[in-house]
Amino acid sequence: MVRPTSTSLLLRLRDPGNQEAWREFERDYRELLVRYCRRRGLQTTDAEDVVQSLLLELTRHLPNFTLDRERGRFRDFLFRCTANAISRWRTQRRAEVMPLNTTIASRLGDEGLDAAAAQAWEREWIDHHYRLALRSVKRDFDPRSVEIFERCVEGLPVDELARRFETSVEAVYKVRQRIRTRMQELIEQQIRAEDALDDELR
Amino acid sequence: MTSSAERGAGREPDLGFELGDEAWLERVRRASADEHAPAAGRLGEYELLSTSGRGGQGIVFRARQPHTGRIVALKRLNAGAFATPEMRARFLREIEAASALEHPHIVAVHGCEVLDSGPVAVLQWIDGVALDQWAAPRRAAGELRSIVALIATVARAVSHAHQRGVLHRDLKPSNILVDSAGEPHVVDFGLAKFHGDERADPTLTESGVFVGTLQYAAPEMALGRRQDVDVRADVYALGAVLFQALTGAQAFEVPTNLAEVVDAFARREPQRPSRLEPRIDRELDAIVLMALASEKERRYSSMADFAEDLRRYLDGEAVQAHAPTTRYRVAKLVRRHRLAVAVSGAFAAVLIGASVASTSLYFAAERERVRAEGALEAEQTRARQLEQSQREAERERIRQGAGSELLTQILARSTTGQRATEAPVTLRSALDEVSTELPAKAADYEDQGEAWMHMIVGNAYLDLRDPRSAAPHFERAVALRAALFGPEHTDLADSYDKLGRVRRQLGDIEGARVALSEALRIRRKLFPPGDGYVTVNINSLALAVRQAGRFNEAEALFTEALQRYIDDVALPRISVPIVRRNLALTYRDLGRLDDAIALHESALAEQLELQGDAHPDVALARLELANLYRAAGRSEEAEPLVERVLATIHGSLGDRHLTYLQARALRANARSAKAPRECEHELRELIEIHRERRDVRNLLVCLNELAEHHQRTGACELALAASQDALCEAQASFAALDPLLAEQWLRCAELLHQCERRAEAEALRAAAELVLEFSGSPAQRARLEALRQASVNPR
Repeated sequence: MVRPTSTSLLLRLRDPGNQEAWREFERDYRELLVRYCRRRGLQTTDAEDVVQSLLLELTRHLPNFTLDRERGRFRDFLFRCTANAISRWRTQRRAEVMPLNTTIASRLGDEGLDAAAAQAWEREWIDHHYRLALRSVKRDFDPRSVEIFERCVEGLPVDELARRFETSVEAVYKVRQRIRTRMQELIEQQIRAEDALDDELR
Repeated sequence: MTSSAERGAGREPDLGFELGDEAWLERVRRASADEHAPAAGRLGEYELLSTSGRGGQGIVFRARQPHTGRIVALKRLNAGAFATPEMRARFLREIEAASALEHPHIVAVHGCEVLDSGPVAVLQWIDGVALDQWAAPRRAAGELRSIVALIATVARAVSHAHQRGVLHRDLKPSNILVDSAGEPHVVDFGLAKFHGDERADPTLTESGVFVGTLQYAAPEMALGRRQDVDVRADVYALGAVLFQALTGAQAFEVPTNLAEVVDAFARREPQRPSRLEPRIDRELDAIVLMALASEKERRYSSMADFAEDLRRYLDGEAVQAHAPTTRYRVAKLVRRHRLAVAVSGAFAAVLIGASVASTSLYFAAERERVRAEGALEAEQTRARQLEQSQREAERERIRQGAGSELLTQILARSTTGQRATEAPVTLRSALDEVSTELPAKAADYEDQGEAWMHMIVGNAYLDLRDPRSAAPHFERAVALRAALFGPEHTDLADSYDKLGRVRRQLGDIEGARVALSEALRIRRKLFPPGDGYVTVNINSLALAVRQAGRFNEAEALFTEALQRYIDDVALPRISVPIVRRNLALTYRDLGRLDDAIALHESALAEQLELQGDAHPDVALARLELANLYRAAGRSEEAEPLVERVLATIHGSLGDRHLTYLQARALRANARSAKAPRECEHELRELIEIHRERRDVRNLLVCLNELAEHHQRTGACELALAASQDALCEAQASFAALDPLLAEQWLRCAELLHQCERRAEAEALRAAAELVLEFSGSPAQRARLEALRQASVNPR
């Protein structure tokens, strides 16, 4: 089993008062959460509100975060929290119920953990890991390679790129392959760290 | 239901690395795409051809217009994290202003549309390069005059806009496009003030984006002295652009350390461009330096003056700009005589022998024009609008900064002390700590930031279900915002809304009613007629109004809310039956039982269709209807509903669910005559459960049911004991004038009367009357009257 490194973000979140870790968590995960909310039909403004509330809620759960294998991995946990936050928001947004006979209703929201939601989540979660990996790539590779790769992503043909960067077509392919390989390594590493954390916490 | 946990256990996620290169690159593209980007190659009806630029400000697409086939640029502005309908309306207004500019060197604004729920500006497409890219080879070739000529053209174009009251405020090389014919086009006119989208990502202030725009910002702009910003800020920016085009260097290096920026801006004077580029002569030096003077009084007093001096230079005439030393002495002289003149910049121009341009100052020029048309008011409105939108932009910046910082602090603090050796620090105590420090912290963020922080802390307390701690924060936010924005502002409405909800949770019904009606008053005024926030607000106000015993008012509000929920397809459909039920229960309060039942039956049918038989909301609705049937004496219709609830809820939510408990109370009541022992047993069990749950309201319901049961079976003393028990609970929990407490007095009085304890009954009746005279339902008033009659004429 791969043990998480001591620098694993999720592990550092359990450190007392690690402000830097929370800043990092917000920076890394906020976009994933906002994007998911957007995908589930929330306006950007509402998505930001939901995510703020969710982040506050996570401060209560993450430091003492434990998982049992039955309930899934960290990403499943995060998914459930997000789905709940959206449900709560939906409940607030719709009309309130009149308390009858001085009773107060406690209701469940409608954002279920259905297949479509799970699928959307998985997609956003993978995108999230792509973004994290891309960030590392941009930091670690030389600027020229990064730029060639970015143009590739934009859809520029390889021969056009070779011409523009005054290099050979083979060199462009090589840059692209190097970055692709590195990204695969990074993403697998990231996911292992996430999952290994789960193991650590069990 | 399948959760991803179940599906995902042991299954590897599809990471996409088995894909072919092109498909894989598409994955990367998707992951890194701007979240506001459209899903496919279309934006509304426009066909997107390419992305021509993206940055902190949003994205520009090259697109084909439907029907006409015309190629246009679509600029999609990020609405910002907290865009309000008001901001959107202002954006549309400004686009309109910019689209009134018709000039061959200003990019035409065709209009603005809301596409994919975001505002999008439709602009003329220019196939060109940014000014710095165009200038570099010409500078290398020594063609400095062609650069000056191009800037002169730009200056005339910007002057055209100034004369129509539009400032650019974000002139920089990338906002001046040069086409293949060598003609410049100024872009982003009048849009500049909406571009503060760096705000959306506070980290950008640490990186180059924010700093980058500072390179062309006049000191008064960079230092945030918004009231000082006029046409001369654009003169400065174009001067900086000219400096860079001529020399290839920045006129002013912005310090990387933000703390040094303020200091640097306050004192900066640019070096002579000729030191960097020897082919620049003395007169051109003087022109550039005059445009870049750090004090705006020393700059050209208008863009037209700047353009004219550039023309003189190109035509070989004597330029207006002098060596800074001479100029500076004159300016000093002017300052000594400042009292004698209204506008020193204009006066300085007179002193040095130039003709005074009509557009010496934007506001001065505007004033002239407007006075000529005899409509000074319009100008004042315009100035107010300008000021307003500047404040808006500033406000956004502040609250974004304040909010993020505060959130980080709360996040970090609530994790402090999680080690076993330390006392656990909960989110709660972290919040408490932050909220006591708030006044001191807020000083860094001005009042807008302080108000925003109070909203965040208040909301966090609400998330913790602690309305008591939340309330003072919302009160403070209301006070701050009212002082800042005056009585009408969407933010103020938000604060009132939250305050109202919190007060209602705390049982301060009158306070809630006041706050919610204030929120509604503001929103009705500022939002478009059919706005969804207004609709939700109407319903929540109606709830408070009804609780305050103003049933006629509540009926009118619920009726309006219902129609709006029906009309507004953007709001959740399930709201329609919910509001119908609210209205039905208000009919009951008004004594219109038949109307109430008819409306409620239709609501329940609708809800069944939307949510299905087993939904807890449906169960709740059934209980309500059962209660209505009971009140109408139709117990035989109530019973099957209660049984249905007991069956569905127990199966899905367990036996401690509130709706289940309430259904049991109703069932107990139905059994009162047929199975008195079971009834009493069940009620006593429920009473213990609610005591344990500290749910006073449901505890009262059960105690009263028990009292009624004993009353029915003739056990007067037992009934009285239960009722007095309920009264004690109510007195401990409700405010002195709460209608719920008064109802309890009335019930107790009725029982005492039946038990022949007249004097005590009369005392309680009088107490109840005090409150219920004003806030009671017609039914309650009728009961009061009956009791009064009975005590006056005892049989």
